[in-house]
Amino acid sequence: MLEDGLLLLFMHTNMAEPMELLCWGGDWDLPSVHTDSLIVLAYAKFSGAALAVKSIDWTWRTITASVPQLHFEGSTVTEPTQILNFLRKQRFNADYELTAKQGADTMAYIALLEEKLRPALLHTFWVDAENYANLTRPWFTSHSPFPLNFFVPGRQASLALSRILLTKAESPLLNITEVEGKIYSEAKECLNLLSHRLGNFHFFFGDRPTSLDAFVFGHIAPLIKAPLPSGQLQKHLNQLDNLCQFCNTILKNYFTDASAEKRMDCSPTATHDPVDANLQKLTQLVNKESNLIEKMDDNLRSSPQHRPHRHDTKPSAPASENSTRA
Amino acid sequence: MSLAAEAFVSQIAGKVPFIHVGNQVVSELGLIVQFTKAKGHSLSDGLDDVQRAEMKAYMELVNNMLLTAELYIQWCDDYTATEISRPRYSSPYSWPLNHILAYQKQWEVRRKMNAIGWSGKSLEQVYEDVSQCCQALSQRLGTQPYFFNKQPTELDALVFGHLFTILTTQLTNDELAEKVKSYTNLLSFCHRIEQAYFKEHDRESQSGSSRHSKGSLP
Repeated sequence: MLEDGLLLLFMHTNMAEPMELLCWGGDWDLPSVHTDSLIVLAYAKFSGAALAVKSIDWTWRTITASVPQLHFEGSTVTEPTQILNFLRKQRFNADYELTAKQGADTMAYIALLEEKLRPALLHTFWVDAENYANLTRPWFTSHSPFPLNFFVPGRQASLALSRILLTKAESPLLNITEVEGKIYSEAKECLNLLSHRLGNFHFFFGDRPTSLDAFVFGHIAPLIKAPLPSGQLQKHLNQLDNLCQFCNTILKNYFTDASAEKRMDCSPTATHDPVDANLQKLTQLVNKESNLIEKMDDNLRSSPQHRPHRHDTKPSAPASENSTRA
Repeated sequence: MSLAAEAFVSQIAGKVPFIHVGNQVVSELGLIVQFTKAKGHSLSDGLDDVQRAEMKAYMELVNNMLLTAELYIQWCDDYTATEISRPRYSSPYSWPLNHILAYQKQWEVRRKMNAIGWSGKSLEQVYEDVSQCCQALSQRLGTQPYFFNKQPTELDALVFGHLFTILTTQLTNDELAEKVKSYTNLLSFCHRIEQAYFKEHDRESQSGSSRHSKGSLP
């Protein structure tokens, strides 16, 4: 807690030059639909880095910029790994409590994600005909300015296809349909391995999220949340409850401000000031507490030794707090 | 099997290494492991799910970093490609096939590097990546004899293969080998496996070592 306080103080004194992040915009309850952008956004939240996020939607940067891109004091950093290294050097480090072995494990699991999961994700979104035509291409077309909307999705799709073929289609597998089987089975195996490793914990290394959590979140969140018409990998992932729970926990704890603010913007009485955000946070805390109290209540009810007078006083508390929620 | 015949079969089967059992040919480490497992020999049966996940993750790390770095150094570094890789790759074939195949291989590898974003890296960055990968492996190995304590697993075989190649292949400079040697527990790991499993093969191959291999570990 002391470190958090000192970190906030450090950030306030450096508020003059915020770091700027360029990334793809959000949808489907996510702050961004793009895996690499999500990784950086999640890590920034975990490490407490304040980023001025600028989406490249509807700008010329959809075709020129390599996203995500971090700008700070004249220097530009691209690629999630490089950006995370840069943030760590700026003392925004979510990994400082990890042991050397855990740091090594992080590298290994990130390599696993890149080799086994990424090709199947690329295929699901960019090469699978149904998904591409019904979801991916319309989304990116509608988020790119004219006339780039004709080029941007097609270019991404061909980059994805060539990457899959060059890295996975070694002889005797020479065309995409043969490779498909291989990459999907590897991706399913990878998801199973991640689920085994996560177990019942909230995050991969205990109670605090680290860079590995950011990487896993970036990869699986679009797969969970996107409304894919044809998603065999999505179905497989939905069966792995702990990974879905992991994703939702991160969204709820670190990104509800963003989506709550978006919803507030849509309402006619929107006032985009931090007081409302704090009120939202307070209401959420109160709701969590009332949920806990209800759970305790249920436990007491189900326990054989409950005494009638004890739970008469409890229902009034959640009832009064429920009324403040509206 | 002579070098020319091996190269010929590898073109057909697709990849070296391969094993030849009866009339079946199985290539690639993953498939060979599955094949031997089906025949009743498996190294990772004693691992639980979490350990198996870790093992697979570390194998991917080695593939991702070490294998890609080896390919980069062999084919994307102009000096090494010209002096060593192209002549060695084209040695079994006669002219003009040797030139065509060597340039084709180089072009293929460069395209792959481009697709995964390694073409923008400098040689120093690649050495740095190898060093980081070795550091991760060294930290994981610690003071244990093998990666998963007392028994060798597929990961040990994979790591040994790559590190042995790096340490014994003569390149234009020794920087890569020096980086690996700086991790003493990895070096002793390689020595240990070489002593335990390859002593007889070493004695046979000492007399017939190729121009570019130093034979055994220094």
